[in-house]
Amino acid sequence: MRKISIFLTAVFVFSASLFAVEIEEKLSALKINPSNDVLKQQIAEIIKKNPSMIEIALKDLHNSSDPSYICSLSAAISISGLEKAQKEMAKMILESGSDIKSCLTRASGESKNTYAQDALASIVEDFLFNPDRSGERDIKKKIAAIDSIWALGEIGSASTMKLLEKYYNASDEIIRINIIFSMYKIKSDKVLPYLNKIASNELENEAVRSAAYEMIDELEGK
Amino acid sequence: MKDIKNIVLSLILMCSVQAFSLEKADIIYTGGVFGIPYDLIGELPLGHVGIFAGTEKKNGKIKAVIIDCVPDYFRPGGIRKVSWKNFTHNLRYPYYGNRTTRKKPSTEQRNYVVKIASKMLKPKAYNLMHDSQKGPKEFDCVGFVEYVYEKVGLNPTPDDQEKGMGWPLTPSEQFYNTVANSPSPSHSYISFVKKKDLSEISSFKSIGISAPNDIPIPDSFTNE
Repeated sequence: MRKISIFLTAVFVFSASLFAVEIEEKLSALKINPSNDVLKQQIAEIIKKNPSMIEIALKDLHNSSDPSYICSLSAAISISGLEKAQKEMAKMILESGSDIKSCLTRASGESKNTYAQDALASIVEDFLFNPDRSGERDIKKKIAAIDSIWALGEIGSASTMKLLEKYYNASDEIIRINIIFSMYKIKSDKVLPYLNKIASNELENEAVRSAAYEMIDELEGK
Repeated sequence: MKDIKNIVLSLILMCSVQAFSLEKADIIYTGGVFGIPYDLIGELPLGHVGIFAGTEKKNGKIKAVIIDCVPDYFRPGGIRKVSWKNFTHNLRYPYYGNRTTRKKPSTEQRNYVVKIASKMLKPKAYNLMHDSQKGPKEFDCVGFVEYVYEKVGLNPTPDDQEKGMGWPLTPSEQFYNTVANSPSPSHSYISFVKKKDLSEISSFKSIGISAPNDIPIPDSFTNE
């Protein structure tokens, strides 16, 4: 019995070291070619097969200062869909600078990372409810807010609808149009009545109403 | 005190909305394949640009008209007239807003921008190598916008960013060289309520006035 246990442990350690070698190779290749989507997918697959490999990927992520590599690797880690990966990405969204924040936000939307909802909401609120906000001076903050609204739509939780309604009332036309796009993606029962209200509101801007009409047509399959 | 705060916040909201109102011929931005924030191509996640050509009314519905230039693997491809969903590549990217030239276009120039762009609609007009950004036969998205604007005597981006060491011009570079649109009074947020008595705005109740229904007013106002 003891021999079997030792044998199994040896097999586990051996296979883990093989995965480690493999992921190190892929990470090195991704450093050279950060836009390679195949490599990102391969890294995500290795992490899925052996979740302990997430540690190697995260260590590399935290040690890197190359924005392109950080963006690509965070996307790969997000694609893996592991709970630990999702939580780590959500944490990183708030801690990173504007150049990285943008791709982490995008990755959280693409991987439908529900753990990132609070972080995304705080980015939006940091812009919307800041009394000193200025679209031009705070353009990066505004773009981060727009990206976060996009990601909230991609994640698509029903609870997001209430948040988006709240943001709608405090937003300029650009953000209102993005909120409409995100509401469309949520596909909750509350969406269509809300979009109809915007579309038929003659006091609302025509560009915003056009976005609402278009999303209503999409929802109704026209 | 609350009433005064509400009035001030209402005015701030009106100003912030006013500052980004979308006008015919405005340059509009979304994301795209160049949108990954590579340090090589600028910091903003902008990857695609087009011209807002206004709105159309059909069967009682308002439809945005956007003219842009895309590769033919998009449907439709080339220089095309589309709406929000196509412009944002099936909502795969957000809408990042509208800009205009530092020298504000006149109404006549705006009309010409849309007229010229509308006459250029055709497939197979996109230059994948970006070595012919501004045409005259093939364009990329950002070059197409430059071309049309230059035809009416406006130049969104300095020419040295389009050729030589400045090549290729990117949407981010164009964005940084243009400005948020400050619309004419007829396009301002307040114009939506101009036919209404200001006495209907709730924030002004303290001075005997209240708001029209359904004007977007922050929850923080209505909750108080």
